[in-house]
Formats: sequence, structure tokens, C-alpha cells
Amino acid sequence: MNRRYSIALLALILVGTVAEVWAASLGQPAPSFTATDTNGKVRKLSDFNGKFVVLEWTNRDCPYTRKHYQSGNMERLQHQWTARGVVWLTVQSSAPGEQGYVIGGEENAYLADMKAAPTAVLLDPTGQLGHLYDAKTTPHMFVINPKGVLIYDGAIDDRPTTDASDIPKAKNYVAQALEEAMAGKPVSVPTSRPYGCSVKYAGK
Amino acid sequence: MGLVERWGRRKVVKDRPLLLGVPARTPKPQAGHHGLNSMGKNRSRGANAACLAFLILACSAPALCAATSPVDAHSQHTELDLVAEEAAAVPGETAWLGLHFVLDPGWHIYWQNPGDSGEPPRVQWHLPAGFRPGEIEWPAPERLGSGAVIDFGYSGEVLLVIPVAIPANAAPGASENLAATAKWLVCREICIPDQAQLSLKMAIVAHPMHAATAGEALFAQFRKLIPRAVPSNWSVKAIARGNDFILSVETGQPEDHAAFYPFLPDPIENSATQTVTRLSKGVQLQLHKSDQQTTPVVTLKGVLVLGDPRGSGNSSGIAAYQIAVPVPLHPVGAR
Repeated sequence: MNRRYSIALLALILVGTVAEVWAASLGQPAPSFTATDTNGKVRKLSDFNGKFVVLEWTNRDCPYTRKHYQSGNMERLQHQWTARGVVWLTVQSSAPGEQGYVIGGEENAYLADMKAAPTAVLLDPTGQLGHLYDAKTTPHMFVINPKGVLIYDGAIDDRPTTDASDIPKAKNYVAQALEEAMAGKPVSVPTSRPYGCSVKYAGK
Repeated sequence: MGLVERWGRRKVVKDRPLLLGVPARTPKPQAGHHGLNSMGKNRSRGANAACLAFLILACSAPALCAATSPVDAHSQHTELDLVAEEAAAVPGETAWLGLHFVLDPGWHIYWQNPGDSGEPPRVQWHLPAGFRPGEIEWPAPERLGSGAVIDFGYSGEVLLVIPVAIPANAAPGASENLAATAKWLVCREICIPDQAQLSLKMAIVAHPMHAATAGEALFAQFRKLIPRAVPSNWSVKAIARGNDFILSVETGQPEDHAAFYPFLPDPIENSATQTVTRLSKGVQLQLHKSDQQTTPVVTLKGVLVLGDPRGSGNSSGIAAYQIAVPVPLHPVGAR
């Protein structure tokens, strides 16, 4: 094997490895990102090193999102887990003009109204953050551990309906993943099919 | 700002004026008639009661009255009827019913595996004792959406066929009420969950009645799209290679159009393009594996659709097959 060939091969392998890291993959470091929140503050995933981070994709007019917000379920989860030191980031990836698109002030008013308690709401109208994590639905939930590894990617719970009466009977995958990981146990359900409305990305 | 529909306020797209107590459509009590409402005529419950009363009075024998569909649903962007293939049913046999959806342009409902988002329609039956409903027989879906989120479902019109077993002790001469609560999600840019109470009357007869009806044409049209078993002389193989599954189907002739719809959400990346390669005796499909697959895929199960859905204008140019093919791990580039 001549030298040029082996260098090219090495380069290819390295590129391949780096490319893999950019996609959100279970058991791999979660893709790093920078985004602006509804208060104009710039947030980076690296700001939260050493903490559990939950990413929650949202669209307040989607009937599946409303199921969890109108019932108070999402707000309860946010309060409960931020109180235990988890960073909860709600992400809004609807493109301007699409359902769920909001500007900062509007979203802050909505949060106050709903008594929601995320650490921050990240505005992603270009869909860059959504595409980075391959967020498909609202809601679509991700859990990152204090080492920055993605440990859960999927649905909020195991009842994929718009019916709020399904919530008490549902197994909440986010709460389960956080409980298990905090207890040092492996996450028993690291992924599930996320359910909800499609994320209203720009340029469909 | 784009269209934002406030869910909770039912926005009726088509308003049809109705006079309470007056049937919206003149009932025709004749043999083989089963009240097929595919034109989506809206009827209030008051009008339907009057229609039924008229039918009962006008009919000398229940068998002639046959199965009617007195309660259909005109809902948000959806016309939904419960329809029956045959006018009457024989004890001990299977009656074929169907959920007939007619959707506003651009709106769609979902297949049993909805894809990346959405939710399939569900039925809860309210049947007389001894009547046993089967599972929905789903016609081949279409690929919906574009970009990062791809779904599987139906636009325009679809009939979801459902068998109902008639008990052996059903009494000939009786007229049975077969009712159902249907729940579905209809979407375009936004999604609207909806539900309807449906019912139809099924006459029980001692001997089969076969009469050509409009309903039979509808059933025939959509039965063609229900996946069938792969012909015994075909060969279907799958291997895993790197980030893909390669599905090879030998039909005996070259195929230009093919699509695979998995029954389960896990195995493939729904939004990835399925590269189709024509073979001299069949077709090969390259299916991108899903990133979130945590356990190796042992069998690829789903529906293979051959033919171009756009080719013949009304999807009759396609044929759908049920596939369940084992996937041995390829030694090179296994993931």
C-alpha cells in the first residue's frame, strides 16, 4: 500500500468519524449547538456540562403538544425535574408562517400563562437545531447525561394519542430515563417512536 | 402569519343546509341497496330517523330493505361513511364493512404505521352479541410529506376494509345495528384529531344475496390495493450492507417503480430516499437503516408496492405485496 493511499484512507476514516459525531446518536456525545433563547440570551449545550439536559420540541397549537400542556403534564415535568437540577430546554423549530412559530415575547407570555418552567426556550426558526437532532415531531424528547451523552431519543410517553385521559396511565419515558440514569442504572428504554405533529421546518 | 387553526373550535368547511326532519336524500328501498353515501351527503340525526322510519314503513320484508348507512360523518376536512359490501349477511358468514374516507384536497390520514409523525385511524365497535369484528385491512399507503419528516397514509379517498363475523345463530329476517366510534387524525400543514359515531343496519338473510351495487365497485377498487402474498415463483431477499438494507425482488420481469413501507417504526429511515434499481428480472431497493435502531433487524416486514402510483392516474397501476424477509448480517461493513 503506497503512502498516498494510506494517507487518503486515514483522512477518509477521520472524516467519517467526525461526520458521525454531528448526527444525534444514542450512546454518542450529543451534538453541540448554540441557540438564542426567548430572552435574547445565547445558550450553548456546553454551558450545561455536568448536568442532565432535556430537549423538548414544541408547537403549542399541535393537538399532541396541547394534550401535555393543557393537562399540566409538561409543566409538572418541567417543575419536578428542574428542581432536581435538570436543565430543561424547550425548542421551537417552526418556520415563520408555520404553525407554532413564535417570537420571544409571545412565547414568554405563553409560558407564564401555562405556568411552564423550562430553564429556557430556544428559538430555532431556521430549523438548524431541529435538523441537527433530527427532531421529527412535537413533542419529541431527548435526554443528555452530565457527560454529554445522548441517553434518550423519542416519545414523551407510551400513549401516542391526543387524549389527555391517557396521561395518568402512560409510562413517561423521559422521567424513567432520568430516574434510571440518576440512580446509575442503564436506561431501559433508550428510544421509542416519537409521536406528535410533524415539526414545521422551513423550506419543506 | 400563516393559517393557524384553533383546535377546539370545529371549523366546518362545507356547510350544507338541512331541513330538520326532511331526509337529505330520497331513500330508495330496493334489493341490494345499502345506502352508500360516497358522495358525502350530509345528514342530521333528525333527518336520518325520518329516513329510517320511511324505509321501515315502505319495506314489506327486511331483506329488501338491506343495509343502510343512516349515520355518516361530515367532519373537519373529512367525509366518513360506514359502508357494507353486500346488502345483507348470512349467519355464520363474514360481512365486509368499510370505513370510507373522502378527504379535502391536500389533507391526509395515516396508515397502520404512520411514519415519522401522525396517528392511524382507530375503530371501536359497538356490535350486537356474537358479532366479531376483525382487523382493518389496510390498502397500500402513499408516501406523504417531504424533507426530514416523512409519513405514510392516504389522500383523496380510501376505504379501510374490515371483516365482521356474523354469528351462526343470527336470526334471518332480523335487521341488526352495527355501530362504531371512529377516531382519526387528519392533517395538512396542521393536524386535527376528530371522531365520529357511525352505524349501519345489516339485514340478516337465510341465503346469500348477490346484487351488483355501487358499494361493490368501491370495495373492488380498494381491495386491489390491499397487500397480497408474494407469488410463489418470486424470490425476495434482503441483506444488510453498511448503513443500508438491500431488498432484491425477482418477479420475472423488469420493474421500474417500487417502494417499501415497513410495518414497524424502527428499521429504516423513513425520510431517506429509497433508491430503486431495475433488474432484468425484477427490482432492487436500497433502504437506509434507521440511526435509532438499537437491536439488529432480523426480519424486514412490510408492504412492497410495485408500479407507478402516478402512472395510471388513479393508482390502479400498482400492486401491493406483504413482505417478511429475514436479514442475515453481511460480514463486510456490518453496523
